[in-house]
Amino acid sequence: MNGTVKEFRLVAEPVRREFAPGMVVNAWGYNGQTPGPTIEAVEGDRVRIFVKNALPEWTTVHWHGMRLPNGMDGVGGLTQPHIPVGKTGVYEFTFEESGTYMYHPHADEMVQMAMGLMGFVIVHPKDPNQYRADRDFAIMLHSWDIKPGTGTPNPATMLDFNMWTFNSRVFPGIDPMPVRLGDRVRMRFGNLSMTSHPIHLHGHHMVQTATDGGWITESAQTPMNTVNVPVGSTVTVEWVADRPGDWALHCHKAHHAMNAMAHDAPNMIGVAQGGDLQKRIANLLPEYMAMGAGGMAEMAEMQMPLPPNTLPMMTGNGPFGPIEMGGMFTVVKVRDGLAIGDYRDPGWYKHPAGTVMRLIDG
Amino acid sequence: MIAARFGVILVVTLALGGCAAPDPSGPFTDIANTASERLGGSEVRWARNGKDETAAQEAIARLLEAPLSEASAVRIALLNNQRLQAEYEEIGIAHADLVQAGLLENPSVSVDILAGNGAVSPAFSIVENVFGLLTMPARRTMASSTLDRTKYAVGAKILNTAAEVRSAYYKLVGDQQAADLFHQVVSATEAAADLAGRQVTAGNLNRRDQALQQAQYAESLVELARIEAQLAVDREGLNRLLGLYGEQIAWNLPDRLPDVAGAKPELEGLETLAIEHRLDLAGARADVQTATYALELGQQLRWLTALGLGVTIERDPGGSGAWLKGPKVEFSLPIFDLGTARITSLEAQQRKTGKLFVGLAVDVRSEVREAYLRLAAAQDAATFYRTKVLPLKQQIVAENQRLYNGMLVGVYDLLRSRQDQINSARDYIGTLKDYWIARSQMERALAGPLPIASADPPPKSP
Repeated sequence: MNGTVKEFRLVAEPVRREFAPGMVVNAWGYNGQTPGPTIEAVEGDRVRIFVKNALPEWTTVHWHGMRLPNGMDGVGGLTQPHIPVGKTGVYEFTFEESGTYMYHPHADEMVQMAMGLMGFVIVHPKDPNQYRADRDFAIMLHSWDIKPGTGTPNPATMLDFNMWTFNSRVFPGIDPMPVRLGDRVRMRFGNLSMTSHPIHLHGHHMVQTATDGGWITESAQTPMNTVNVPVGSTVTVEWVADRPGDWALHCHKAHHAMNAMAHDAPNMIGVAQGGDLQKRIANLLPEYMAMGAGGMAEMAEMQMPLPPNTLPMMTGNGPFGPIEMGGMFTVVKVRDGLAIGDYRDPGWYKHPAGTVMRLIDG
Repeated sequence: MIAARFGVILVVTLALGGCAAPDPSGPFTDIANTASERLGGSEVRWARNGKDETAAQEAIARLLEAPLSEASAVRIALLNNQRLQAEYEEIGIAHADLVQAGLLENPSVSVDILAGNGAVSPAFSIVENVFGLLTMPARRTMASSTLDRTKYAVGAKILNTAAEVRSAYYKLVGDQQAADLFHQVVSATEAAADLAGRQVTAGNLNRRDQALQQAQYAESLVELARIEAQLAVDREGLNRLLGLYGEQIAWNLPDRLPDVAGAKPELEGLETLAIEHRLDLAGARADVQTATYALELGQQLRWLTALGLGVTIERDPGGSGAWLKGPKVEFSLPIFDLGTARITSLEAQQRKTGKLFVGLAVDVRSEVREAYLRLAAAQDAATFYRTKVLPLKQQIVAENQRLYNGMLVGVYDLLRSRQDQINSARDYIGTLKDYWIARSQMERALAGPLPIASADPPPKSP
């Protein structure tokens, strides 16, 4: 606080971000991280935000979805001069409405967002009991094009992204989301990628309670298992955790729940490649193994050497075997008896006897 | 005085008259030893009879049992190249000329029967061409110089043949090694075509994409056939140099070229070495000598082109029946031919040999520099390929294998990168072949082995 003004300091700068163990990305972010720190304040707060530019080019910050004076909107050239390299821009305005917003550059926007400059602004209602939830998660969705074996996103890519992140992390590098049985859970999603993400929660029904345009009246809330998060918007959903277990939460575009893969590799499904042919190719390439004939599941099982700084396309292990996922995938762990504020991983769910699929012969 | 001289002539005549056929093995051994030493000890033999020929064929048969080495190829050529053996006969010819130059002309005998007035008066005379005797030392010197010249020419031919054999040998070993590698390229295109067929069977590939793979395979087969045909042709070139035919031509080669040997040579001193060692240059020097002797002789005997001394015996034409005897002299009178044209010609010939000698020396120096440039460039290229290009190509395949492991590239890309690696290995073998051929040319230019500054052990090739 500075008098009656809440002050925040952002430093826009190059950062190194681990997507998951085994892959570190040369990104841009705020205060050493991507997404940048979540700016949280209360409805009606006067805020002053110092944005220091430690990037190699000018920048601005646009307060996405917020209602504010035009000169604070952050569009370089249109509503303000750019913040040059080494200078600090000061934004000052009042957070008028509670809700979930985003911040991101509006200067060389495509490059600066592709490199990871983004963050949440969360404005809480003045009345803490209004829209109250027990657990509140904010997940920024993003896409990147990082060629296997490299570590720097290609900012010129328009469509062919290969890494899909929750808060700039990929499975299995994304923490599980522990939830106490009976909690009302709020999940806020922001999407600064170039495609929409249908986020699917297993085992529960949820309702959408807000967009970045404000809260949705209860009568207009639709029950759903999958919420589509459109490009350039935030979506808030709420649900009651009434089923204990390890519940998957993921984008339902299947390739968004995977890591980098080749889209133009030859299609080998159902192609017999073994026997003499395998041997002949192995004579030329001793490490060669025929792949893809039965599908790609073997990819998750085999631990073959990959290019440096590259994650397997499908990976991660659960209590029953390979999870074969990547990208926008994590696990919501609903448990009885968690303490309030305890977000430690409770381990794998212990299923009551007779409640797990069983195998029979044939 | 004249009678005494005549006596000497008779003695010499008798002494030389009965001598055996000239034996040229001495002069041959001289040059054979020189050539052998320059070739690092390779034996130089002249098969002059059936026994020599049999021994040579036995030696060749033994040499052909093992895969042909550079040394054994050179040895076989020296024993068996008939053009080279034919060249050795030039020494026999030049040597016989030398012996001939040491012989007096046979004396001429004349018989006159004069008859008249009822009397018959016979006259006999025997005349030896003393001119030949007077010029004999000079002619022997010239013939000896000509023999030297022939020896050098033969020696140069031996060294050039060895260099030709070495070049052909390395070309063949290199091309054979590259051809062996090309079989792997064919395996790669064949595997790709095979995979494409299986993809078609599974319904995963269209006919166009299959045809692309099949076409690459077919083209690689055509290329393989072309390479193998060229190899067979090159093999015939070496067969000719080695003089081989019939069952002898089933020889084998080693699988691979040796690596680059030793440190890079220094140009300094090589030109001087070549000027000292080149046998063709020594031959040109001998030509100058010969022409100089010829000119000197011509100048000394400018006025005299014939001189005969002899004895005449004649029955006294007076009828006394007594035999009269007396000396006889014959000589030419320098009235019409003053020898000027001959001297002018000899002078011109002497100048010509001098200019040819200098011209050849200039060429030799240039040949040494050219051979050096080729050798140094080939050595740099081969070393660069081995230490830089090949490791990079290997790395590309290894990285592609990792990408393939992650399903980040397909099997066709993987096979293609392996193909590319093999083709680079073939290019490397090409540079190594250039290196060894350049080395042979360098040795030809130097008429002997290349002095190598450092005796670093050659690195193992990948």
